[in-house]
Amino acid sequence: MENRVYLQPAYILHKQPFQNSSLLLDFFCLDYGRVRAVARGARSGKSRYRSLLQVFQPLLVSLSGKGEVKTVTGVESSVAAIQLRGEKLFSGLYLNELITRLLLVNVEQAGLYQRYQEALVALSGVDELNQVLRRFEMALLDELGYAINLETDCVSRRPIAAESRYLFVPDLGFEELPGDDDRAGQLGNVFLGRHIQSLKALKFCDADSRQAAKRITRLALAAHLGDKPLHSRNLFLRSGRNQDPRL
Amino acid sequence: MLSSPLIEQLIEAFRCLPGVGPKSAQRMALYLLERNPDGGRKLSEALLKAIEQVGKCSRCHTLTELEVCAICSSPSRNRKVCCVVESPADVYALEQTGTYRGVYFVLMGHLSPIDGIGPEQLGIDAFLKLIDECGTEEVIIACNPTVEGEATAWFIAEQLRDRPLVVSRIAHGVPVGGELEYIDGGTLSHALSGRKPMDLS
Repeated sequence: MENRVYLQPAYILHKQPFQNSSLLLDFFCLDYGRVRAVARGARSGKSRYRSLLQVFQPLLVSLSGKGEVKTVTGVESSVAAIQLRGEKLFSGLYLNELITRLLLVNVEQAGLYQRYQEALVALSGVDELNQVLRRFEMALLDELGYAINLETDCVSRRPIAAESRYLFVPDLGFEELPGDDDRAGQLGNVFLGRHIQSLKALKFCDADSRQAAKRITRLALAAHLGDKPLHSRNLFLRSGRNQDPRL
Repeated sequence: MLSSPLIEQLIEAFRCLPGVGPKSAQRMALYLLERNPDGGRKLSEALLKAIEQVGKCSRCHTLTELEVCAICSSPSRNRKVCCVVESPADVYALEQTGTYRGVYFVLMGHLSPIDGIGPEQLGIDAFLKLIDECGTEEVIIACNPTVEGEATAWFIAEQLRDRPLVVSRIAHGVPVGGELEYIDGGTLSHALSGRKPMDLS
């Protein structure tokens, strides 16, 4: 990344108070991936861009600085903020938590930026939540270099068959279980072929396939998230009305 | 370089305050020692007492040295209305308006999954218990108009869904004495979407 960047498309992933009236921001930039920067005086009443520096607001930021933490020199909004409410807002926060937990700072991720933007726009629309979240999770795994092979058995290389059962090993893939294998019913990481196919097509026709897709991406992501749990999931679990947590 | 470790220690101690750098810390320390030793003694006594005795109110979680804070124990307060705020500073701000006569609940923050702040850290369960005990009729959610504040507000409203009470959110929009021309687009669009019919009675 150069010492000066002008009007770079970016979103804020996270912000925290810094010193007296400044903010320490975690940007997701189109050309530079995650970038940390300080916005001086952004919390004071006089700040011009206090209302712009919000998560889910498409921004054009100008940054300068040589070190790892840059200084914000200018902020403009490119379009109106993406309005998310309720469950969709929690989903947006979940995306932000995933990105901050899994991406390294200052590594270019242009493809994922587009996917992130698409996911936010889809969240603000009428798209089904599961579909949007699974699509983004798969894109994120792909970007990290750990895309799940949803097409073939990782041992025999045969295509996934709808009626067979498969054991999922994160980072390796699906391995077919023999029909009489008694592990099948007990383990949380055994999936039906057609559920794997529905995740591939991102078409979920029933609750089982939605649940299975959620578990597959969850297992795959857990391998990279380490021991610390994702806190945004708790928001869904506590949402009283929601019997089918999406994350 | 100062030769007195005590003075240096004092200067260093002042630097824990927000917005106080080495230069201001030095000015404060020397001022107290040179010109106002009595003020310094008072400051140190008040500071020590406050740090040792101030804790959280067992009902509303605001800062107080009492078991139950003055607002929660005041008989003139309407316990049927509860206002949820993010910090004790918000309680002071609302008290200064002089228009609110209900009680408060202080979350001491907002939901922020990345920082690991979830419902447990905000004491949501304690809040729900308080609501049920008091027989609250209205909950006013006065979280900040940021995305995180909005998420917190929505989460609380969701928890209160099945209770027979009114849940309201404070309005956000154009400040009193403001000029539309100088107001940012986000605030203005909020003000527009949150408009209300004029009361001509």
